[in-house]
Amino acid sequence: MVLSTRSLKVLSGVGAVALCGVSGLLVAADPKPATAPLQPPVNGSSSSAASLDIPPSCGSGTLDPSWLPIVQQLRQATTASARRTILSPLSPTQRLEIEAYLRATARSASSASTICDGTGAGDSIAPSVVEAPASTQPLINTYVS
Amino acid sequence: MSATTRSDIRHVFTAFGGARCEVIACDANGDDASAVIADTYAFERRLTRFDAQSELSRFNAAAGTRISVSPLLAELLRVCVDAYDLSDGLVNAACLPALIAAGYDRTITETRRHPANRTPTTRRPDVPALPSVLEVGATWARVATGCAIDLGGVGKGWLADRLCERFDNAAINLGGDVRTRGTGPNGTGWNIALCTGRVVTVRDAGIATSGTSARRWHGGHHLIDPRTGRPAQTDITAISVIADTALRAEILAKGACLLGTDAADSWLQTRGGAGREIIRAAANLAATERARQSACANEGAAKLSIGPDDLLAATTGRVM
Repeated sequence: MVLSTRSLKVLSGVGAVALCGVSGLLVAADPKPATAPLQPPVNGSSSSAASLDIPPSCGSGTLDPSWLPIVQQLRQATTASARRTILSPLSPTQRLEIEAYLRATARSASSASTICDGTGAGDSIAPSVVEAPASTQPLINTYVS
Repeated sequence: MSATTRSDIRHVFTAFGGARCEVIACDANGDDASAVIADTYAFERRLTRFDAQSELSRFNAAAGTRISVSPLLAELLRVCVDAYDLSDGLVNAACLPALIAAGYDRTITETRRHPANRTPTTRRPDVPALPSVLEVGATWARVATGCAIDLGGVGKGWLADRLCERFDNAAINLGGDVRTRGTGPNGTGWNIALCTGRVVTVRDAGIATSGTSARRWHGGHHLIDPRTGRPAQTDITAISVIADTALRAEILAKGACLLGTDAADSWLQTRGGAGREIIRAAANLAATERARQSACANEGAAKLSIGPDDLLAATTGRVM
C-alpha cells in the first residue's frame, strides 16, 4: 500500500498528539511530594510555611578527603596541646573547616536520640561563677558588640 | 612570630568591624595566639555580609537556589536554626532585610558617617520564621527567594567557643562575646567585668552582652526585633548573660534583651538548663550609663590594637 505524502503527515501528527497525551497522563499519574519547597513563602505566619517539609538541619557535611587523616588525628588527640600541634601547620581555612566538620559530626552523633542542639552540644562542663571581691580588676570586659 | 616558649600570652586585636578582640592563653606560645588571630580574620572574610565575594554574600545572592556550601557555612546555618529554636524565634538570622531597611546596609563606620535617608514610614520587611525559609543539607543549603541571612553575634559566639576549646586554660573575647576555659592565670578563675561593671570570677563559661547602646546610628540601632521587623524597643539597654558557652550566652542575651525586663528573668531561667548558671546583669539607668562608657572605652581601645598586617609584629606579654 502506498500512502501519499499528505497522509503520512496526518498520520505523523496524530501519532505525535497521541504520544504527548500518553506522556501527559503518565506524568499526571506519577506521585508528587506533598509540598514543594522550591519557593517557600517568606511570610512565616502563613499556614503553608508551617507545613513545609524541610530536611532536618543535622547533617555533618563532607570534607575534602585529603583532610580526613587530620580529622582522625584530632579525634585521637587527648590534650588541647596535642590538638594545637596538629592544627598549627594548617591554613586558617583548613582549621576552620575541620573544626566545623568535627563539630557537625559530634552534633550529628549526639542528636541521634535527642533534638538537634548545636548550642550546647559537645563538652558540657557546667560553668563556675562567683562574685569577685570588690577591688578585683577584670581581665576582660564584656560589652555590647 | 617565632616564639616557641610556652608562657602566658595576651594579644589584643581588632576584628568584626572595629570590635576589640582578645586572646589570653596560659601555657601557650605566640604561634598558638597567632593562629587564633589569623583564624578570626579568615572567619570574618568568609562570612561577612559587607563583602559581595564572601561565601555568605554569595549564598544570599543565590537565594531561591540550592547551592553547595562549605562545612563551615553549613555548620553555622545549622547553628542559626538551633538559635532560633532555643530563643523561641527571637534570635532570627533571617532578619537581614529588616536590618538593611533600618539603615544598616554598610559597615557601622560608614553607616554612622552617612546614615541612610529613611523615614519612619518606610515599610519594614516582615521577618520570616527562619525554619520556613532556610534549608540546610549535608553539603548544600538554600534560603528562600527574597530572604537573606546574617550570622551576626551567633557567628562570633560560635567562633569564640571553637578557638577557646583549643586551649586548656584560656579566654577568648570576640567583640564582647567571651569564652573561658580553665582556672585562669592565677588558678582562681577568670575575672570578667559584666556590662554593669560588676566583676565575676568564672571557669569554663561563656559570657555575652547584648543591647542597644552600641552599633547605633542616627535613627536606629543594630538589634532588630523579628516580631516587628524594626530596631528593638526595649527597656534593657545592655544585658550580660553567663552560660556554658559563648554561643548560648549570646543567644540568651539577645533574646532577653528583646523581651525586656518584665519577661527576661523568667525566660532566662527556663533556658538555663541543668548545670548552667545565668545572671542578668544590667537593666537599669545606672547600668545604661556605665554600658555607654564601657562601649566608648572599648571603641577607643580598639584603635590601639593591631590589624591583620601587624599580626607578625604583635607583642606578647604576660597576663597580669
